[in-house]
Amino acid sequence: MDLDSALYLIGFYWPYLLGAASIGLVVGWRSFTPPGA
Amino acid sequence: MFNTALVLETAGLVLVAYLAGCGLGYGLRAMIHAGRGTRSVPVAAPAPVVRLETRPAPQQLQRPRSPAARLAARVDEPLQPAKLVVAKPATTRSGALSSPRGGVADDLKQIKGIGPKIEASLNGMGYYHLDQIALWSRGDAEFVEDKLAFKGRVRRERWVEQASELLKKAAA
Repeated sequence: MDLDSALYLIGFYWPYLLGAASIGLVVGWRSFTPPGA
Repeated sequence: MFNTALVLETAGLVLVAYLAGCGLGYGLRAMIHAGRGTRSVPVAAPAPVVRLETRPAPQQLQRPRSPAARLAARVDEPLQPAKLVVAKPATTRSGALSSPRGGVADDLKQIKGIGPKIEASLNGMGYYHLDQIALWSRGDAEFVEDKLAFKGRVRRERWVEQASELLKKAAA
């Protein structure tokens, strides 16, 4: 994957990437267990 | 029409975005939690528990077995209203205090295994200082384990020994 094609893909598919990142954010948030809980 | 390389690249980017989100979410929550843990939270003294005192009914009021006996039974004593008594809070436990000495509690979270929630529970039981924990007997430890519903945790995580070590370090 070269930089140009990566930038092109990010520019074109950014809503999908944002969606994936949002799902990841929720999964990461929920996977944290506070110590002593 | 169907470009495999393009699909793979896109999938890779989506995966990277997902993993970055995971890391960000986890880190964000850990950061918020760490910030919360360092704040000093004022702890209210345990509220007195009101318990209803129950007494066995007088002999005359107990239901006789046979109808004849029931007829013969005479209720002479009027019903007594139940008495409300104020039960003593758990502060009567050995070494427990009703409030922290000097109004400032120790940070019990220094002991590995004690988090903010357990610290708040211990404060509620009247334990605010490391020296109180260091002086726990086996009975005290069992009492706390029962209250926290963590069987054997105090001994497994060596809270008493940890408290002693922390006190020694602080004194040195």
